[in-house]
Amino acid sequence: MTISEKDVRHVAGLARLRVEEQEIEPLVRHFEAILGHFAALSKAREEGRLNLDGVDPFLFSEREAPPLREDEPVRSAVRDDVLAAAPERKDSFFVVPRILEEE
Amino acid sequence: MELFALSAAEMVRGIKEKDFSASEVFASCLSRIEALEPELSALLALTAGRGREEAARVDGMIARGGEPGPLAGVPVVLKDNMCLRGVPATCASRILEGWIPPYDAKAAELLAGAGAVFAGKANMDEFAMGSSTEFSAFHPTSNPWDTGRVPGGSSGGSAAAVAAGYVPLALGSDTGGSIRQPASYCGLYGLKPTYGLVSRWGLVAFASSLDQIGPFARTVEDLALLLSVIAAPDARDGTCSRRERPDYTAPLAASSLRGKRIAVVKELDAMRSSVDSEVRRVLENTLNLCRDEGAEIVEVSLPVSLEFGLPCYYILAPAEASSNLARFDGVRYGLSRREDSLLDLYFSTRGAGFGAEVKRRILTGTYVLSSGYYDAYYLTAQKVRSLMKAEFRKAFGRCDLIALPTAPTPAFKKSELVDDPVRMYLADVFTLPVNLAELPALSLNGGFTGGEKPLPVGVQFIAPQWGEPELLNAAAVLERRLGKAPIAPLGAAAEGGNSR
Repeated sequence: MTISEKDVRHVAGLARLRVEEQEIEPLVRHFEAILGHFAALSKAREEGRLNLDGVDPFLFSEREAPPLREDEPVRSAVRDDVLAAAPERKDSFFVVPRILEEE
Repeated sequence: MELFALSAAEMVRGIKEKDFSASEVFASCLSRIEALEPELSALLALTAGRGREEAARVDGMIARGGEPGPLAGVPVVLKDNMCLRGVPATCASRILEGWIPPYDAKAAELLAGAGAVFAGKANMDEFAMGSSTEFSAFHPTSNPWDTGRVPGGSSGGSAAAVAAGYVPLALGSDTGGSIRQPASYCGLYGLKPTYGLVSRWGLVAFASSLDQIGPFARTVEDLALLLSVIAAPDARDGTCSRRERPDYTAPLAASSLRGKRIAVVKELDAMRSSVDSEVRRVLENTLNLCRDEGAEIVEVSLPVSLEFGLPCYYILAPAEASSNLARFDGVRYGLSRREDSLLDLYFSTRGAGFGAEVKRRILTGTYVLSSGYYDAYYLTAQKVRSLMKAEFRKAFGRCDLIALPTAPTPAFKKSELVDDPVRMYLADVFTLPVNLAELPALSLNGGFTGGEKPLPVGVQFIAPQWGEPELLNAAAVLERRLGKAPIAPLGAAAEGGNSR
């Protein structure tokens, strides 16, 4: 599995993460190391030591049914607390840069 | 003996019997913290004012003949990824610097209700991603047994605080070993509960299918006491079980291990070269003690977990993290780099706010979930995870507990692995299968390395789902042979200890 700098930039874009030029190359090496470890799995499968055929990918341990509560309205009084943490707010809104052009 | 050095249970007894007050206990712990914190840097925040008030409240309640609870006046420290209303919760990240949670984590709420007194918030690897606490964005923490070494991670601050005698109890969180590995490096008891035993409400999420809050302590009684308080149902965490919790202090009365089958793992032999010889010796010695106490030692096989657990974990945990950490966008709280466009605001804030290891994991997770790679990585890793669960289930048909090293080595030196993250991941090889299989496990101090500066070495016991009483039972019996976990000999013994 080879990873290119282009792959890393693409993924950083998907993750909305600014990655500096000097960070790219170490990240390529890191990806290769991680995925290299993972390649052991493919190898073991080829060698017949690991059989994933028909394995349920989401086998859960003993689980209870999802908890349900009564459908009763509850008043939540956290709005002001939450807004108090806003980097920038106006009234009860979070302020972000304009995302639509003005008419 | 100074008050800070007492166990939590001894503090509670003394406070309730008015031998000393909660305020005196808190003052003793505070002076211990103030004396050693410059050397250890275990904390990110000290909550002295709040703690004093809480201690005074406990004293007042006792004076009026009230019942302050099972942790009356016991100072505790929380890992900084748990919310405490009005106290900054940073997760040791720049992106959350200055954020003050408007609510208490369920675990914190339960502690307060039990009469515990908050002494501070503990340092950690940023967003719990790391095995040394060196990935804290603020400062590293020193191991109290050798300040030139790491305390382990990611709950390294919590572990160092208990090992140094700051407080008798602390909470950590464990996603792949983050309670057990620092417990091993610092010579403590650390328990990672069954997934779903403790509410994660108010714990900042790293990998939601793996994260679990758990206790650190220096005695088994204290560990059971703290577990009893935090193991409670919570409707606000949909994964928190509604089952009734047993009395976790009951197993402390166990007199021997007669009739217990404790398993060694067959595959460990083939891994000999990657496990430190002192770690192997301590494990062997602990197993001999189990045999002495009447346990039957059997052998089980965990080939998938030990060979493929690590790569599987380092696909799944980052995948979940990449999704969980998407919420840190600079819009609603925490760091915000204001830019002309919303997209630039996201990129700048996240680029500036996250440290190198967190970036690596977000990017790894995004990559393995991205179009075209999902089947090859994420889905394959999930299938391996299913095999691991089945493998543990089969093993527990033949034994009551499985014994493994907690970590392949004792505490490593600061800076030793910081530039080689993939090698640092190996520190989790014996702990992360437990999270993937949703099981409980306990690390206890099995002994020390030889040499001039002895380092503690942990032994891990793994139980079936909801098997915490079985773990506490074994730990209680072994504690009578091995002794309680000691407070690290800081001060005089630490003289000449180089800090790097």
